[in-house]
Amino acid sequence: MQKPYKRKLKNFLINRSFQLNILLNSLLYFVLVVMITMGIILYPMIQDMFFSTDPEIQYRAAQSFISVAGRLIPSLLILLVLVFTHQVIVSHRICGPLVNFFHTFNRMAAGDFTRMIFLREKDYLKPESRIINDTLKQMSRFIQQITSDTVQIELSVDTFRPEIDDPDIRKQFESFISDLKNQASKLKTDLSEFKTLDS
Amino acid sequence: MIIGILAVIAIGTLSNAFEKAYKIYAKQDLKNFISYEEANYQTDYKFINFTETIQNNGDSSEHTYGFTLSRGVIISAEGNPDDPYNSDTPFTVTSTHNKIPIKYAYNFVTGEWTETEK
Repeated sequence: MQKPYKRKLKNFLINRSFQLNILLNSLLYFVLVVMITMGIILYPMIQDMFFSTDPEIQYRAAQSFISVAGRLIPSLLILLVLVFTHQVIVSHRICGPLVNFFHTFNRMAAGDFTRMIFLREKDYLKPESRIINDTLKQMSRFIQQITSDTVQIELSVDTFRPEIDDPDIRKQFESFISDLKNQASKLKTDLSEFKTLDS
Repeated sequence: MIIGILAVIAIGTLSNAFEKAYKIYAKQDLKNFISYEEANYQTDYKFINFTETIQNNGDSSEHTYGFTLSRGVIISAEGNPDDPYNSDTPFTVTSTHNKIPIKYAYNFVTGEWTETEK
């Protein structure tokens, strides 16, 4: 019986440098947001605590500060953890398809149009993968069509025997036909380098 | 880099603000306690006698002496509550917060406030 696949945390980092870069940048921006939020909310209380000359106002400001900061800081820390987790998942769902695309493009560059892209259920970039898969199918069809046409040309050339009386013209024609056969044969050889999807 | 520097400054400011708030708590509670004792003296000619330290750990905001402390503040007293203004046995109350390194003291005889390290 096959064991169920358990995803480990390290498996969420498919493209480590790219994902860590995204994570670091978003965390830094979130820290900035946290600082601005806390600054705007807490500044009036901090100002009263430090600069007011009235002890009663200082005491009230201190009470408000402890009360607000005591709730704000844990909630922002929880948010920070949630944002981090969300970023790991989102970047994982983007990087998974990107790695897939990368391998398919490499194979396409080598003339192999057989590597289709299959994404997981919750991966992003599905429309893009459909376009790439359609391109692979279309390219395969084009290459198969050209190969088939080339074979047809070879057959037609082989069976084409017109009656030419003039020996010079006949010689020229045979030379032309021979060149044509060679070109068709070369084209067929070149086309056979491509790997295509079965129609 | 800039965000890192800003974060360090923000954490420092926040830490200072917390410390300041706890100091204000300790000081204000001590002031309230002084007024409370003085009010008792006006009616009974003596201070409330307590030998234990009173504090609010957060589980209750009401103390048995009927005096409400801020959360985390600890108040203790020394001297003779029946004769608090006697210069030989001056009644002194001390206040601190469990998150600050200093304590405030008030001497009823001299009326002096002092701030010392814990």
